[in-house]
Amino acid sequence: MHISRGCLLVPLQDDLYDESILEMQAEILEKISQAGVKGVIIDLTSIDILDSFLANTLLDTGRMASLLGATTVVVGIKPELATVLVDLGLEFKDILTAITLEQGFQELRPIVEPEERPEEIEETEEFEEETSEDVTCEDEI
Amino acid sequence: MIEIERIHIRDETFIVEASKKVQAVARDLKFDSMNIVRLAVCASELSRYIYHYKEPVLIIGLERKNQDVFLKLAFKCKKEKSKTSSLRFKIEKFFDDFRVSYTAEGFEVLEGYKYIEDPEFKMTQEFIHTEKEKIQGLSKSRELVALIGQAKEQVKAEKVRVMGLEKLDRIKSDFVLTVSHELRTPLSIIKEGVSLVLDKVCGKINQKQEKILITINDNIDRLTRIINDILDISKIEEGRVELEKEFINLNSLIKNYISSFAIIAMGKGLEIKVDLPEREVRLYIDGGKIIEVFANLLSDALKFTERGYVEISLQEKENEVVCSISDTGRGISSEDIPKVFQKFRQFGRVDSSGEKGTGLGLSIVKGIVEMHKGKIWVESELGKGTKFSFTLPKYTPEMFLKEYVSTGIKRASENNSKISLIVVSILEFDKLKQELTPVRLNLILKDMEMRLKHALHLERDVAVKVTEEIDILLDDCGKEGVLKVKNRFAKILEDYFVRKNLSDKIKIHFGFSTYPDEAKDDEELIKKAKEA
Repeated sequence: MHISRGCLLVPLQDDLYDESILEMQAEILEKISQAGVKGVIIDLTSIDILDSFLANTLLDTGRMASLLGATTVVVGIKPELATVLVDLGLEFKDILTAITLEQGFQELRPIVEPEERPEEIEETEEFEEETSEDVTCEDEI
Repeated sequence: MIEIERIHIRDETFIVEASKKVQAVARDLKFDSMNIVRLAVCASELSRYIYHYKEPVLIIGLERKNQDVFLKLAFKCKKEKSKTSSLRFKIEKFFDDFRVSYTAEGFEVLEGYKYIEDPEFKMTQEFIHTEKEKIQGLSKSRELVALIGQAKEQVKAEKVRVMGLEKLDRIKSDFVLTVSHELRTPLSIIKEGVSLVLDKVCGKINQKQEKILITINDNIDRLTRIINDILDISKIEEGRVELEKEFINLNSLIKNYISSFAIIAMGKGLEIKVDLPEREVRLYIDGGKIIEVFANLLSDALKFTERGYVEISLQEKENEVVCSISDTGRGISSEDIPKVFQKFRQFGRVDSSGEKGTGLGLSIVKGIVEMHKGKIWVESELGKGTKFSFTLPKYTPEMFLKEYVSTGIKRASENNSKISLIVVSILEFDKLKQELTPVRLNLILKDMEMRLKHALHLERDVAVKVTEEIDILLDDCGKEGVLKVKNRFAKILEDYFVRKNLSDKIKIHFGFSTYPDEAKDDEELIKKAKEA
């Protein structure tokens, strides 16, 4: 997974075992809290089969991310998968969905503002620290 | 069952394994992508369900049930009997059949069946039925799966080819129809013009002119007959002629029609003989079309007979009636007999008197007879005469019902509608026969049939007495509608039995079934309605 355009991009591969799904969940939450991203895109384009365990884990991940201040969008669900998910009663409520990756980015754009990218926030803080030391009341007078 | 794979769900990694294996088998069996995903997800969900219990195992196989072949997924685990599981209820809908059972050893067995192909795919059943040795000899069952997959591909390719041919056929018949209609209009105009001149509306004409115009008129009529015959034979060959069958007294039909030919026969000095059984012969036929058959054959017989007679006879056999038209005319040579029913063939007609034929009459006659599921043939000797014979099947009420249900189902599937069958039977019929006598019981059934017929609303609805029961077919009627009709019928019959003081003696049972909700074809609809 990597950060792109202010969002944490998580492409899932097929052949995911339960353990790796849970590891992925933990990694997502760690990355969110480390990098302070506001948006997470989970890409299911490569996923052919999605059962209740993976579906519920994704939903939980979305809720957990939300508690950390990040919004999650799931993209790339295949039409056949969508039908089966609904038939199984596994609807993706409380989580945004989009068809393509680009649409996912568009969905998160209002939430993720480019000037507030994590690396820029750090630079601004340094600059403010420097100026606050330089300016005094005596200088102004 | 032919086992393809057996997977012991030892840990959670085998859940993914199970899903992948089912996916692969479903792909090899050429299921569509939706069903592949459904089956793989089912496998994953059900594997998770059994994984928590002892000795969980998934078995993938092929099984024959009745005439169909199914992909079978069987999930087994050792656990006590459980009550309902919402998972199972959700999963059930993905299979064509789903069962839960328990073995004596304490295993819960969940079996899901998925039909491999639509009913047109016969090869799987035939393959499994006839190739048993080959199947058992296969070292790996996956080879069998691959073979079935290949067979399915071949059948699909054949279907595409046939659809292409059908499309070509439709283009051809549309062309024939369009051209024929386009030719009719100018022909009508020409005929009108010629008639005006012949009737001297445009002025006087001399004898020579009149003779030429009469020849033109005759040929216009002939062209018109050819176009009409081409249209008729085209429709027959395309199967686009819908017979309007009803129960008709064939004796009366023939007697009424003969009279119009008697005049022509008298004019030629010929005798018309009629040999019909004394007993009424009632057949389930399209009266108009059968008259066309007689008209064609009689007209030919009269045309090609100079002296002697033309005879029409009916012979009643066990399952059919044989109709014959024989004459003492010029006959047909043995080389020409095999070609008699071919299109645009005419034999020894060049010098004959009267109007010329189109060469399509006998093809049309053959088409009509065959549409009635009959046979037609000719016996002839040059110089001695010709005998055309054709059969018409006798319809038992059971045959009538099956045909009517078939036609109804065909119409329902084309219109995307439903039809329903109600079977009204008298309980303990055999016992009642002792009490009421068979004759009286038969009369009661006829009475019931008549009352129910009167109560039908739509023209296409039909009620028929079939031996010991009355079957009612309701057009464009689903399950809700059939319940209402059934209740109405129950009231009608209840009132009837009260009036006849039969309420204590006769008890009625109503069975019903609906296409396509409960039955896939005519046999299943009849069977389910009778068993309901």
